[in-house]
Amino acid sequence: MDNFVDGSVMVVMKGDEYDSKISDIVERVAKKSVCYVCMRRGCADVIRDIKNAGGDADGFVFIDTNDNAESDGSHIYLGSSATLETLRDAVARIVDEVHPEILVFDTLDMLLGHGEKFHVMKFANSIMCSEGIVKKMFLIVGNNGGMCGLVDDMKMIVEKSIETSNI
Amino acid sequence: MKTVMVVDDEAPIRELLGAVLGSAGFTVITAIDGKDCLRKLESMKPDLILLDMMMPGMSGREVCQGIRKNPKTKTLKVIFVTVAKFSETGKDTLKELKVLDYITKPFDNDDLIKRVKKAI
Repeated sequence: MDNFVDGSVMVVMKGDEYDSKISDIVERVAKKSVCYVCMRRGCADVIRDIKNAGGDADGFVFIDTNDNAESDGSHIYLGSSATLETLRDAVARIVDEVHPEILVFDTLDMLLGHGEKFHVMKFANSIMCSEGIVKKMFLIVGNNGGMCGLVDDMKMIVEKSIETSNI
Repeated sequence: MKTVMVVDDEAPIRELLGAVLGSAGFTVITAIDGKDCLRKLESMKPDLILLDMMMPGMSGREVCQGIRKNPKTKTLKVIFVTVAKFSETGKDTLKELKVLDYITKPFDNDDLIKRVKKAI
């Protein structure tokens, strides 16, 4: 974690690197106070990675758009039909109530299924406005982000951009 | 009289910028998005373009790249208008795109006029 700056970091992942690299990132944030937004895979998979890394998910609050299960204090299930507004409200609420040290957004380009690039940019910018509370923010972007120019536009507003090969 | 092109997808912002700049003596023309901007630049040559960073379709960065690639428009002066805070990387990109300045929304009217006058 030390090689990551405080503030917003965009982690650009090639599609075939996702499975191996996302585990690395989860391992780095395990044992911290984390708001983890699960867009690409469910929170059960993230919890498995945390346990495999010898950590625990006690400090995690998950926002999960993959499942429709009943929410509880540390699992907010929004389902796949969640709108950007619903998701933004959920993140803002967790940031306000829990004050997590770290926010992980896995993965940002999944939002391209909810709106066009500029909606995703506006969403990301609104999330980044909580930087005063959240110390570190990891915005993970996959292949689709590069193709539509999302990565290049995001590079203009994030503190740092990292390719997964450099993690 | 100097001409400023305002490119913003939000009509209230276009109207506000138009009113503020108009009252300062500038002629204002508007474009509703990046494609509209590039199309209008085929026949117009404003002294300055105020370009919104986040728009539907083409982003401000992409529009500016389009302006720089076209021999007819590559020397036009551009200022970005944005709700976002640019990072150091972002500021480097602004230099690469030869963007003169950036104005953050919400903007102060007097500051806006001062920056536009300085640019042209």
